[in-house]
This record gives sequence, structure tokens and C-alpha cells, in this order.
Amino acid sequence: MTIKRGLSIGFPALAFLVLTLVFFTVDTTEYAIVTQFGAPVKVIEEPGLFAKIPDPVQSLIRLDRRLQIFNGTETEFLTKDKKNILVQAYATWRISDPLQFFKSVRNNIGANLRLADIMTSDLGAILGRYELTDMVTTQLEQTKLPMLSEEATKLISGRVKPYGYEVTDVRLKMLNFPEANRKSVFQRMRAERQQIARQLRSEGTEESTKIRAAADAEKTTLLSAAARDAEKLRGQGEAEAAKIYSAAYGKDPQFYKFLRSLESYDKVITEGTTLILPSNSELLKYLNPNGSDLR
Amino acid sequence: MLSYNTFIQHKAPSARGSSVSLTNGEVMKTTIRAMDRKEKAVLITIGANLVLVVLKLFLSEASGSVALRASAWHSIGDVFSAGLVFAGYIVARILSGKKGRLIANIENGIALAISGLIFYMAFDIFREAVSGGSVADLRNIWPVTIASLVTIAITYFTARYKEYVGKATDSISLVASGYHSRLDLYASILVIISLASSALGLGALDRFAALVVCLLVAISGWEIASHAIGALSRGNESAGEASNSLVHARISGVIKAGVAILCVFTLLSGFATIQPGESGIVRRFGRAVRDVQPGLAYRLPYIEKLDTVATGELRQAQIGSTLVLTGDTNLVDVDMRVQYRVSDPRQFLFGVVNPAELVARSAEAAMREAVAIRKVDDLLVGNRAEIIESIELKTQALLEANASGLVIASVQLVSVAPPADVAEAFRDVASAKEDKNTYISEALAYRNEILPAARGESTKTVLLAEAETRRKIDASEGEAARFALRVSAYGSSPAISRDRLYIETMEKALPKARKYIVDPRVADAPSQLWISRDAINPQSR
Repeated sequence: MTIKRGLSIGFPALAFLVLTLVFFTVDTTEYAIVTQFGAPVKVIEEPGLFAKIPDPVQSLIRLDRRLQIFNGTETEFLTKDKKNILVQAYATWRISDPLQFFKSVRNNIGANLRLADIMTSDLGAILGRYELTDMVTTQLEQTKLPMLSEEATKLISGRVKPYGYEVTDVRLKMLNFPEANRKSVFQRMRAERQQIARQLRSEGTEESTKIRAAADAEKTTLLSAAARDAEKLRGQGEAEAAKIYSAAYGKDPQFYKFLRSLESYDKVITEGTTLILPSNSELLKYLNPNGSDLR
Repeated sequence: MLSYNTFIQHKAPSARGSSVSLTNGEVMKTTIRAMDRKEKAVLITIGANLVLVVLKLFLSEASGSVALRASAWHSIGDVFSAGLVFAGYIVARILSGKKGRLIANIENGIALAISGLIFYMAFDIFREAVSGGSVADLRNIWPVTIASLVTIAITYFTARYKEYVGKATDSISLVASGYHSRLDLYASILVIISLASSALGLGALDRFAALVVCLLVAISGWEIASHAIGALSRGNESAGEASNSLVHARISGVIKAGVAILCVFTLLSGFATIQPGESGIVRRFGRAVRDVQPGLAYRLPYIEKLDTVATGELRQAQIGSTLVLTGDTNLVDVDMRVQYRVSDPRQFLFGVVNPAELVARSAEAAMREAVAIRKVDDLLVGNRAEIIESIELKTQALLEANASGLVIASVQLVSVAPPADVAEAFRDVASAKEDKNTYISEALAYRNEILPAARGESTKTVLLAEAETRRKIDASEGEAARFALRVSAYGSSPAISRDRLYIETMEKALPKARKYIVDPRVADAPSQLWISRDAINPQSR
């Protein structure tokens, strides 16, 4: 009875065990390869429920069929125009032929190792055909980066195809100058900025000087014009005055001369002037008793 | 094996002294002793089971084994059912007739409730044993395994004791209880084996053992339930008396019951809830078969697999501080953040092995390409919105080309700055711009200061000249008028006026000068006139 009871618990358990060893599912994200004593016998590319002979006779290898991402390492390359650049690229790849993949690189680690080598050598070759200005330029039309990516993708994908996978995209994750060159790049950037700063300041000075000079010139012009006008006015005034004088005095020039001379005698004869008067002058006429002709 | 019919006839003794099969007094005495012994035996087993429960719980905590915990629950179940047996004995002894029936019904009701509890415990163990978490968490395996041998010893002796007493007292229920304990023993052995094998690396056996024990727990629950229901509907017998005896007799029934319970539990475990903003995808044998909307979802366990994807969730990728080469071979330091969400759950789950990484790489590549065709000044101070838009478009294109099922929500350029080494020089350019403006402003200020002053000055000069001119003309006019008047005055008597004026002037002028009056003949002839010094006299006139 105990044996029967034991069996009735053990039997379903055993059946369950057998089921799990024979049947297996392949997921939509996988390829599966059934190997018999290590050699592949069946490739499963569609998801579903399948059966195989249990281990150790037949084993199951699962491969991820989704898109994988490979990150390259930072590598220094030389461009066509002999410039040193530091590049880090990444690639997206997926398995195209599961059986070939398993036979040649076995798993993702192997695939990535292979890809690393291929990428380093091929990228070097491709980058050596482009100049730095093809990749880095301010003219929109001149940039050849998309072309470079495309060329790299095609070349590298072709090279990995024999290994059972394909590369769908190769892009530059990083494009930079190597550490050693960076210092000189910074130096150049600094010098460039300094030159721009200097130019700005001198432009400012130039502009300022111009404005000041123009202002001074205008000031001088204003003042000189005013002086000129003033002189003109004065001249006009004097002319006018002279006209009036001559008009007035011209009515009796003799009288004017007489009056004017008298005024001048008053001014001219000062302290210290020595006058020698003849005794028969008009003024002293009456001094000489003989000479008077009072009438 | 005893048949069911025999049990029905074996009614619970309703009063002390009455026997089920014999009527004479000798048998009566034996029966009393037997009942005491039965009750004593049940009490002892309850105590032993309680010890087992405590021990097993402690061990299961120490090791983290699910099977041990299941075993502990099983022992708890046993405590309950033994308790029911004992209650049954008490009820049967004290009461009889109608009252006895009422108490029996209450007892059956309680038994039903307890069976429900036992079912729940079984389901809980089942769920945990089946849940996909990590298997290898068993600790302190060897000490726990050795301690578990103690539980086996206790269980074995309990089983033997019950069987022995049961046979001696002719109590079928006790014998059946002993049989039940044997099953417990086998289960415990299974648990020990699974513990030992997990130490050797076969961790999954722990779960399997837990499942088996859970099955036994469910079965004992089912026994109690079914008999309680039966007893309630028939209106006789307390649950305890017959529960242990009932189904053990039919081993195939146990198996059928076990399988049925296992199936029900498994099917029940297929329920899951999908939150709003999530989307579910069911795969059957690996193939995607249907999408599930938010709400209660069901999938067949083991055959179907349900994945939920939070489609509404805004995910974020950060591209930290990196040096990027600009179009004019300058370097800038860029810090960027990308927000994205899932647009196609199937592509998201089945397309790319690491979607978050793809987003980060694509965004980085797009950013580099955008920066590599622009001047450093445009990047530092120019229109960022335009650059961001181009990065967004490019990243989106890359994501779509790779069938990732993701869509970019937004890109933020957290900071675009010159590298630390040259930041100072860049700042100086900004200062230089300021300086230039300052110089020009100062010059303009200077201009605004001197020109109005000059204009004022020039106006003043002109006005002064005007005034002067006016004055001269007025003076001349005045003098002319004066002369004209004098002329008219003079004109009336010229000779007199002439003389008068002449003499008046001489009077004024001559006093100031030194005068020498000489003979006219001297004055006429040109000759040198010597005047001696002593003739020059302050008083001489």
C-alpha cells in the first residue's frame, strides 16, 4: 500500500519532470538551435512549443534575435588631412543566420569581440578617406557625416555577414580631439577668443574716437560760423555808422572839420606838451598892444 | 481498510457508558478507559503538533525555505483537525439528543470555517511556490536540515502513538489520524530531501516539495469541509469524529481530490490586473497572441505569459557632460536630457534588447551631428530651439529606423557651455562687447555735452555782435543828429559861434601845456630853438 501511495504521488511528479525535459517553448525574441551531442541538428526561427530528446542527448541553445547594441571603445584615428581625432562609435546589429552565428561566434560575446576588431580596422580605413572638414564644418552642404555612417555600415555589415549577423547602423557616439591635442585646441580657442575680444574693444575705441572728433569738429564749425557772422554784423554796423556819419557830416564838411579839430586839440594837448606860440597868433592877438585892431 | 458504511454505523457515543457495539458493563468500563485514553492521546498529539509548528516555522525563517513553511502550515492544519476531533469527543460525551445535534451543527459550521482557512493557507503556499522569483535564497541549509530531522522524529512517534492507541482503543478516528500523520511524515522527508539537494545546487526541488505539501494541506482542508457539509446536511455526527477517517480510506479519491485542487489553484493564479496607462501582451508558447487593455486580465498559467508595458510613463535618458566638436573646430561641453515613451508595446518588448540604451546612443549621435555643423557662437548664445528640434527629429528618425517602438517626447539641452579651460576667455568676449558699448556711450555723452554748449556759445557771440552793431549805429545816429542841430545853430550866426567855440577850446586845452610865446619872426624861420634848462620852471607858463 505504501508503495502504491508512493507511486501515486511520485508518478505525476515524474510525468511532470519528463514533460519539462522534452517540451520547450521558443519565445518571439529568440532563435533556438537543437544540438545533438554538440552538433546542431535543427534551427527554430519561429516562436512556439517544440519537443526534443532530453539532455544529455539533445541540448538547446537559445539566441537573442532582437537588435543588439555594441559600444566601441575610444580609438584614435588619422584623417585624410593628417589630423588626429578621437572617435567612439556604436553599432546596432542582429543575427541574420542563427546557425552560422552559432557555428562561427557561438554567442553575443564572441560576436561583439569580432565586431570590435572589424570596426576598429574598417573605421580607420574609412576615416582615413575623409578630411576633418568633411565631418566638422559650418557649411551645411559640406558635411559628409551621413555619408560616412552609411559607408561604414555597409562595409562593416558586409564583413560580419559570414559570421551570421548583420550590422544595421554604425554611428559616431563621440568625435573629439585626443587628450594630447586638446591642450593645443584649447590654446587656439583661447587665442581666438582673445582676438575677438581685442577687436571688439578696438572697434569700440574707434567708434568712440570718431564720435568725439565729429563732435569737436562740429563745435569748432559752430563757433567759427558764429564768429564769422559776428564779424559780418560788426562790419555791417560800422559801415552803416560810417554812412550815417558821412551823410551827416557831409552836409557841412567845413564845420565838421572845425569842430572835430577843436575836440582833438583838447585831447592832444596834454600835460607835458610844449607849445611854441607866435605872438601874432589869433588867440594872442590881443596881447600885442600894437597889433590889436579892435573894431 | 474500513468502508464508509461501517463508519456511519459508528455513531458518537452520546453518554458515558454506552458502547457502540457491546452492551455489557465490562465493555462499558473498558470503553470509558478507552475514551479517556483517546482524549488523552488526542491532547498529547495536539501538543506535539504545536511543538512541530513552532519548530518548523523557526526553521523555515532561518533557511528561507518555502517547503518548510508549507510543512509548518500543514502541522497547523493538523492541530486544527485534531482539535476538532477532541471537541467532537467532548460534545459526544456531554450532550445527547436534540441539544447534541445543535452543538454538532455548530461544530460542523466551525469545521467548515476552519477548512476554508486551511484552503487559503494552501493557496498561499501554492502561489509562493509557483511565483517566478529567485530560487537560490536558501541559507543555513545544513543546520536547518539536521534540525528538521528532529521534526521527522517527532512526527514519526506521533504517528505510531496514534495508531497504537487507536488500535488499542478501537477508535477509528484516532487510527485515521495516525495515518494522516504518516502522510505528514512522508511530506517532511520530502522537505528534508529538497533541502539537502538545494545544498547540492538543485534549488528547484524546494518549490516542488512545497507544492506537494500544499497539496496535502488542501486535501486535509477538503476532508474537513466535505464531511462537515455532509454532516450538516444529514444532521448527524460531529465533524471531528469522522473527519480523519473518511477519505484516507479511499486513496484514489485523495489523488483525484489533490489533482482537482491543484488544477483549480493553478487556473486561479492566472488572474492579473493591468493598471491604466499600461498595456499587456500575452504570449502563448512564446508567440505573441493578443494585446490586453487595462483592467482584470486572465492568461493560462505556464502556457501563456503576460507582460505589462507602461505606455503612458514618461521615461528619461540622461546624456551627461560631454565635450563635443563644433563646426568651427571648437569644443563645447553639452549636457542633455531626453524624454521618451513607448508607442508600440510589441516593438518595445520584442524589437531591441535594451531600448533605453538605444535612446541614449541615438540621441547622442544626433546631438553630435547637430553640433558638428554649427558655429560655437550659435550654440552658446544662439537659437537653441532650432538646434533642439533638429536633434529631436534626428533621434526620432533613428529610433524609427530601428523599429524600437519608442517615440521622443522632448529633448532638453540642460547646459551648453565652453569647456572649463577656456571659459574665462569666452567670458572676456562678453565683457569686450560690454566695453565696446560703454566706449561708444561715453563718446555720445561727450558729444551731447559739448554740442549744445557750442551752440549756446555761438548764439551768444552773434547776439553780442548784433548788440554792438546796434550800439554803434545808434551812437552814429545820435551824433549825426547832434551835429545836425549844431549846424543849424551855427548857421544862424557863424562868425560868432566860430570864435566862441575856438576860444572855449583853447581855454580848456592850453592850460595843460607848457607854452613859449616867441616873436613871430622866430616862429616862421626854421631854426633850432634852444631853451635853457633853468628856463624850464614848474612855475613858468
